[in-house]
Amino acid sequence: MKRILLALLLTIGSAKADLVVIGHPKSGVEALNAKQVQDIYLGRTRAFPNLKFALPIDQANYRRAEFYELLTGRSLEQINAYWARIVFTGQASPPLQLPNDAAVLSTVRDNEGAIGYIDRASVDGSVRVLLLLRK
Amino acid sequence: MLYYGALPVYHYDGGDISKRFEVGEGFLTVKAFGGHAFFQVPLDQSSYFDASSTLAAGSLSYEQGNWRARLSVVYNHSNNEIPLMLAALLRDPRVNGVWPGAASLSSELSIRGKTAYYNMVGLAYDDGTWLAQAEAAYIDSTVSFYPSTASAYLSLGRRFGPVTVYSLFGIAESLRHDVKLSSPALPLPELAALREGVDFAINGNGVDEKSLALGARWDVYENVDVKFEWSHYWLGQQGDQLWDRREFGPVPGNVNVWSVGIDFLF
Repeated sequence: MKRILLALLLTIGSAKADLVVIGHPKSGVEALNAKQVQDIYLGRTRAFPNLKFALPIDQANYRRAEFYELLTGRSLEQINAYWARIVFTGQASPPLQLPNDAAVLSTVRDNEGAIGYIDRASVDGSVRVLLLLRK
Repeated sequence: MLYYGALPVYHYDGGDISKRFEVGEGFLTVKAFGGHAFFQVPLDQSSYFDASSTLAAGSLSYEQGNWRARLSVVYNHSNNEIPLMLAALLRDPRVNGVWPGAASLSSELSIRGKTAYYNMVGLAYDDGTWLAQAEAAYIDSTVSFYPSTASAYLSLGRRFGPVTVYSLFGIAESLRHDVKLSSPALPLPELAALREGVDFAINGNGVDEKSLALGARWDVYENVDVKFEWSHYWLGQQGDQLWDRREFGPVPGNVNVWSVGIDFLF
């Protein structure tokens, strides 16, 4: 019973959590707006506004759908259809997918060009918050 | 089919270079391409001709939010000659003896050194739910039996979860006048047959068609989709150039095509 309650609390907690877009402290980027993050995650640009290379990282779990819904207002099915066109026409490849917040945090911490999104509660001082996406 | 059918779809060897700029609220992509194309042209029921051409192209595309616009020009230069029996006959002195001017018609069946420009402009909208796309093209050709052609299409679609329902209307038409053939001096059946064959080869390859398509695309997985489509084509007189017809005969007025396709992304 306790396990069920805990799972329920976690589910509610995750459903209400805000997401943050994070980057490396040495990327030279202090903050990004929603359009700039969209351009990076939708393959329209491969660089930050300071022209340094940007490596977007997706998550291979429910957070991916939350992220795109908050960022673009589009469902995951619509995002997948969008990427199908981009990939078929040879323009770009979709972002690399990592399994969870910890993996994204670790990758962004170790790569100056990496950009990812995680639960706001998972942020620590090793990365810089570039954008807050409120639910 | 109607819009892209005139483009050869075989092998390309070449290279391209592109550069993307942030312009205003969107992104402008400038692209250049150059290379060689190799493709097979059906000559009759059992033989093909290996054609070769040199290509050069440039395009501009602009993307802003849900909108995309594109402008492109492709230059095509044919490098070799089609070995047509008809052309050889037209150059035969014996034929020219009874059909004055026949030799000059052989140049109408020539492609070597001839050029074609594919000029295209397109606009697309996709807000995640509604999709619209339109393209228009003008092929400016100096090959007599591959006449200059204008074509366009408009496509509208709507996504319902993993299924996209779409419709498409297209139109294509040749924009040239027929080449007038002189008549043989002697009323021989063989010469009449030759003239008819030459007339068909030069003037019988126009494009005159309209099409309507209805379809649905189901995104089964992130990297797999299944597409169902019904297309209906209305073909005008001598307007079936885009169709691979193996025998001479009356032009079919209507064609229905049902298709099911599976696309994979690796």
